[in-house]
Amino acid sequence: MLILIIIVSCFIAQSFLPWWIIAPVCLAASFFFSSSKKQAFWSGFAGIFILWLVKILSLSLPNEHLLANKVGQVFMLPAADNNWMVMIFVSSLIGGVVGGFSSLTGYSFRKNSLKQK
Amino acid sequence: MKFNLSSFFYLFLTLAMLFLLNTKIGPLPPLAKFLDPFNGFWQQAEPRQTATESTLNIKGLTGKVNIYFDENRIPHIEAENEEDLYFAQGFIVARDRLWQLDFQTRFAAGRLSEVIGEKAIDLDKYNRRMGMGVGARNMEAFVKKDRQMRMVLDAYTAGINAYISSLKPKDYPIEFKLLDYKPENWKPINSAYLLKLMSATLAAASNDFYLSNALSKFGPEVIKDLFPNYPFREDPIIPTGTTWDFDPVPVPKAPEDVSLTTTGIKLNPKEEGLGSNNWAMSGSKTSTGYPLLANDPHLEMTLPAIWYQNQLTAPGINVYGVTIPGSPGVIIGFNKDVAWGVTNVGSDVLDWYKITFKDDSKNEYLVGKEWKKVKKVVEVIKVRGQATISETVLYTHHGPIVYVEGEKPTAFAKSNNIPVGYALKWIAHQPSNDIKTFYELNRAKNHSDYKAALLHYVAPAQNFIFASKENDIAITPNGYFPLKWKGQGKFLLDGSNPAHEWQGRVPADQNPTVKNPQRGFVSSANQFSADTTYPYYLHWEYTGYERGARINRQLADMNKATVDDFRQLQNDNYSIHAENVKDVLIKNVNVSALNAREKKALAIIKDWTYRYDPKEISPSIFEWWHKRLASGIWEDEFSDAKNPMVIPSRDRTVQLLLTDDTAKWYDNIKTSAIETKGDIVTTTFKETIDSLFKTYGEISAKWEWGNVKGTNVAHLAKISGFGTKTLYTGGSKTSVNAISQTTGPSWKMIVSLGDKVEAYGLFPGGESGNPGSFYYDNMVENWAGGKLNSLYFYEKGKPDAKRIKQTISLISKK
Repeated sequence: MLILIIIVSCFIAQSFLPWWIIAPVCLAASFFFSSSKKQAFWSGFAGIFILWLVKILSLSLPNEHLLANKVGQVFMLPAADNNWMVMIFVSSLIGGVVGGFSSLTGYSFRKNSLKQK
Repeated sequence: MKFNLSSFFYLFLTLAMLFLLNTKIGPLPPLAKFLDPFNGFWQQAEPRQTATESTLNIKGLTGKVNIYFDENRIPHIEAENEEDLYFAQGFIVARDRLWQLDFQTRFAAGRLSEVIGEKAIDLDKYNRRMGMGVGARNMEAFVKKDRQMRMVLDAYTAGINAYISSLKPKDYPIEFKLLDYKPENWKPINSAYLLKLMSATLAAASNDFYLSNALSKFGPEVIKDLFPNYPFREDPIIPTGTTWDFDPVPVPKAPEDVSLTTTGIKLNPKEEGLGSNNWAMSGSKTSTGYPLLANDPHLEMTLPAIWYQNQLTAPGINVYGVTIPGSPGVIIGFNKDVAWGVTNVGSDVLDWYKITFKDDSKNEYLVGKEWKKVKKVVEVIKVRGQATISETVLYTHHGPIVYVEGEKPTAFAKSNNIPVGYALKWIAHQPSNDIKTFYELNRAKNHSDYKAALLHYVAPAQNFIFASKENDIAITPNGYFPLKWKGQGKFLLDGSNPAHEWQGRVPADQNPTVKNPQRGFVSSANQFSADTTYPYYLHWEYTGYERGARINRQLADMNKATVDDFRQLQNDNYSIHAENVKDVLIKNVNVSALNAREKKALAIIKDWTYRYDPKEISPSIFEWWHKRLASGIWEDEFSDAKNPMVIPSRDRTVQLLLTDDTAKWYDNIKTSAIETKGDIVTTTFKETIDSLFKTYGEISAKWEWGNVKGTNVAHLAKISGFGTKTLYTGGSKTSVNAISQTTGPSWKMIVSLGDKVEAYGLFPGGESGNPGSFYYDNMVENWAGGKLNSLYFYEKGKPDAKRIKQTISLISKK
């Protein structure tokens, strides 16, 4: 459930706002909807990882990974036709890690506020 | 109540992560910002298929504009009036090349440090100190006095800015994202900067120093012998025997004792010209009965491509050709009546004047018997991530004193050939209205339109070649040529002596020109503009004659010439230089001193037919050998750490080899033995084979010229992955196909005039500047293979649906 909320709300927010908007969105979503530490982290991580992966594939597949292969060389990968796999994985991973830790932060604030009540 | 501190720990961790991933660190872009699929670089991954029809509402148009894109995504822009035409050209060039526009302007204006930080400081200082800003401002002010050109420039500017203002950050070209900065609004002066950049590329070389040094070491007799004012072999652009039908203005008299010397300057030899060619043939020698014209300007090749192809159509104009992104109109191209092209003229338009200051305050300098005031200009250079730098540049009436004592950087190659304490007099500082020349050529109908258009042109001087449907052909080495005494500016000049100054200019209508010569063709390949009967002195050295001579030889042999004959000539790898010296070199090799490998190599080169074809091994041997030989002959005398000098030209070296068996120059003065011609030829041959062996192993396919030369086209900012792979190509500096490692034909065009004009062309790149586009380098393969693309020139009515793949309509936004 949380993962779906994260994917949908981040998709909408990212269409208008810079990339870092995923952090407050994941934080807020977990603050209201998370049930455990583990669930919060993995929903944030997988939510953003999947969102970014799907969005990247929608752009890079019609491009036949032409650009991803070149950008791989900017990041010191050798000239190769499969750089795109690394680029897609690393991009999604970075999004996922930010999503995961943001959600974790949201969960821990939730736990604090529950304790305080 | 217990508050869990881990919340704040996680919050801090998240914020730190956001900060780090949003910040540019070293050469890396801000990682998450760059990799984010919604706003980062993935947005530049263009699909192979694009929409076929679309409409954009744009503020600033007066009517409707249709832009038709053909199979190479070349835009054919059709507007209802001129203003809209240049607006749309600006808009579409920005759409394809926005980062290139930004980067090249910053380069020329000395503003790169603003975006790439301290590593560009020396370069920025250099361009500021050379007076690029003065030149651009002078040009802008001058152009703006011309109502029509002002309209063109303003409309073009508005078009670029309309595109920029339509962008969201996600749409910025990938280089902006990598370097993490934003495009800024375009200004008309930026167009002036880009044109001045052409002068910086093509008309900023100078050998004045080394020659002054050589003069002081060897004396005037040796210098006259080794650095003559006209070469041993030449085939000038204006054919020998052409008469000059004008009354020349008086030429200034050379003052006595004009030479100055200098010491302690480390110099890089002036690079041989890049190698452009053009030629046109009268209908009397072509298969169609109408003229054929070819042009291939050579430059340091880059991606995004140097040139941009487009067709511009509006009432009163229908022209096709290439332009430099940032400059309105078409620079090389054709319309239904005429075709024209350019190659560089190596005339001397840059001189150095020794400045005599009154005292250490450097506020006044001597001219004749008077002290003149120095003007101090402060250049402010913003540096990313560092404090702003202020540089004071001293200006005289000659121009800027590029470096005074203590200002010259020690480790910056570009400034090596600049003498300290000298003022720079340079054509690029001159006010000029060069875009008017192209504006008028774009609309030219005949030879007299061409002649009139050329009069506005100042710099960089070009050999303007021309052909018309009326069966006229012509060529004019054209530009602002300072009126000089013979040899003026060959050495450093004295800024305090008024007799050393430029004495006005050669009248523009007396620039060398020829129309419909007897031989039925005209051509140029950067060689001497005219022979010694031309009444004015333009320069003492030009690019060697070999390419020009080969072109003329081939054209003379052609009858019923076709486009394909011209295409083959553009790709011709034959070297007249090799033809001139191969035999004398081989004859002088002492075979008994050779080992087995060397004997094998000698046998290979013996059979060589002078073609620098990629699969040949001989060109690799010959190219390394003759270079080694030239330095072997001259460098023992001419290399002096304290007093660097230039070595005599290839032409002079050839003369020596062909006509002199006993010259003292063959001896290596650094050894006690007396070496002969045979000794030096043999030794350098052995060294050549040895270094080829050390680099490529035993004689094998690895020695092939295509492999040894290794051409590639790099990205403009040398971003790895954004250039081409290594291309297997032939050619040499002395072949018509003058492709080197990094330079080559930056645009190849052949136009066949007639009732229906037919044209062919391509450049080593593509129309798009986006590395994520399929049109970024799509022409490279055909280019490297020596093929041409057929150019689509549509005249009226609806364009051919078979050629048009996409249409964009621009409609005025109310």
